[in-house]
Amino acid sequence: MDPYEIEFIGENRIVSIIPNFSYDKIYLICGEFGPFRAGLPMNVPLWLAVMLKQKQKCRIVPPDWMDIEILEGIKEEEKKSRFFTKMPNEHYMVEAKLILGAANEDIPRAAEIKTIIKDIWDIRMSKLRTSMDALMKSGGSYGRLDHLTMMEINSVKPILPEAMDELYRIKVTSRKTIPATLNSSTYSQSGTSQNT
Amino acid sequence: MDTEDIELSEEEEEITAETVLKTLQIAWQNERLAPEILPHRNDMVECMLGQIQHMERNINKLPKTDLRASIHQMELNRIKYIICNYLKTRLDKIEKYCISIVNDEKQRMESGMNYLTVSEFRYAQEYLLNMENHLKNTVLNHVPGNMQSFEMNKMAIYPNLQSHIFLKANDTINGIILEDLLGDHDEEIDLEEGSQHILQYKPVAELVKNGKVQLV
Amino acid sequence: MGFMDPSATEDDLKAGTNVEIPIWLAESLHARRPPLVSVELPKIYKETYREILNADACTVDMHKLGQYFYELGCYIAKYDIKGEVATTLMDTFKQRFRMILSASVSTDSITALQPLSTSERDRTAGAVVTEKALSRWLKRGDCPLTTATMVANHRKRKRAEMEML
Repeated sequence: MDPYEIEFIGENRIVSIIPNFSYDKIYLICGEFGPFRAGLPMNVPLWLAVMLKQKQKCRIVPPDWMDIEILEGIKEEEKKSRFFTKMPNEHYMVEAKLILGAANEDIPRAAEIKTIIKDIWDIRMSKLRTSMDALMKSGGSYGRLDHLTMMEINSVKPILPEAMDELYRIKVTSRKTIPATLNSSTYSQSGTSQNT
Repeated sequence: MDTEDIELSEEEEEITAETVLKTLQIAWQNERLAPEILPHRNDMVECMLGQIQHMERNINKLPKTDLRASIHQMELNRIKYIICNYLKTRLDKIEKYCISIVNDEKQRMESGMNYLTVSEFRYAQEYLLNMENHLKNTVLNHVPGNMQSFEMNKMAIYPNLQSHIFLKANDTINGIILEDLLGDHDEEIDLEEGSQHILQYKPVAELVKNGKVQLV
Repeated sequence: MGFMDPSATEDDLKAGTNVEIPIWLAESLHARRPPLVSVELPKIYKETYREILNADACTVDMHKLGQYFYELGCYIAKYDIKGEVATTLMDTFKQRFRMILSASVSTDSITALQPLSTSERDRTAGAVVTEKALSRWLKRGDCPLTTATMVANHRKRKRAEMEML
């Protein structure tokens, strides 16, 4: 999938905003939101928050996890652990990118937060590479990947699944004792079919 | 008059628009990531299209500058994207795996477990027919008689069910068997609720279809 | 058949001559009873090279020694009753996976690609597409990752890797 499609999926997450206008409840297909009361925080989907922010109709409330101390903690944890640690949410990178992008001024110490999130991302990405290598070396047919976010998983497509497919194909075709179970995974073409 | 139409097409069982949307979103995501075509969710698509129509009529009643109108419009555009992409993904698979899908579907229809909608099935059959006619007109009719036969099944392309996919378990499922090709060391794994894995599609295909796991 | 051997002066190919022929031809000539030819493994699949591959597959230049190493190897493996070729193929593939990983993020793509086989190059190309799409996404908009930070992060990434070990 394209990163923008993952972003699109991540945009359904609920975030908190403070509108500068008042309106009744709004009945969207994805749920009811509101009422909007100027100055009072309320929850909306991320896509709506970004849209209202762009129209200068609200401030975005930083999510709880968008805090230097919490993020430093996550970063330390991520560095120490051999495994992937649980992120504050399944779309932390999308949320960070969109909120910091659209509402930089609403987030205290935004620049520092941006740096830490990028550090966490980088640590996880390099860990991901190490674990892919380990996965292949340990057999390359199965792996458990708890706590990886969708954007991170998407970053190893198609290389990881394709390498595992290829290894499987080598396994099947190089062992003649194994019946050709490849029928379902390859396609056969016959240009010159013979009349019998 | 219009509103009556909508009420007629509404589901018998109570189901909120929100649930329909969530179901569609999951169906879309799974369809995008699964190697084979999945059972259709036409009930959800139809229901959502009805909702969209209803909404659009309401939006038209609002003044163009109304903020609510642009919010609703934005949401509808997002949903339309999901529906279009979902249907397009299915059509892509139907075209790519046309022969095998039509063959499988005929068998499934006998047991009433069809994966394609009526119009998708018609599309698949017509696509196949066009392909056959095209091959006959451009090549087969111009080659010696003993080479003219058209063996459809030899041209079939199959989805690779052995390909590896990423999934997240919605429920705890025990005892997924991972076949070991080289010996008898078949491995058995458990999928705990919320855990994520990469493995071959085949042993979990049914779990994708019944919603126990979700592709990511 | 002398033309098959560039060094031959005669019209006929003499018994006992070594020539390279495609595997599809070798297979059918060998399948005759009695076999018309005896088939010798390409050197990359022979024991000496298998030992090198088993020791450290990443040192081998597949572009020179076996552009279709895995594909051809799967055919070759059929004739290897002991299954050693099959084992080497799989082990080599597993070991060399990290070369694809590093080639796909390498700034010096030409050197990184050099020793890769054809299928490994294809796989690298696929990974590069993903990598590019992702970095486009990261850089876009009001919260971009500039080129400068990318370089800085690359260094940081290396350090992070070491810290984990």
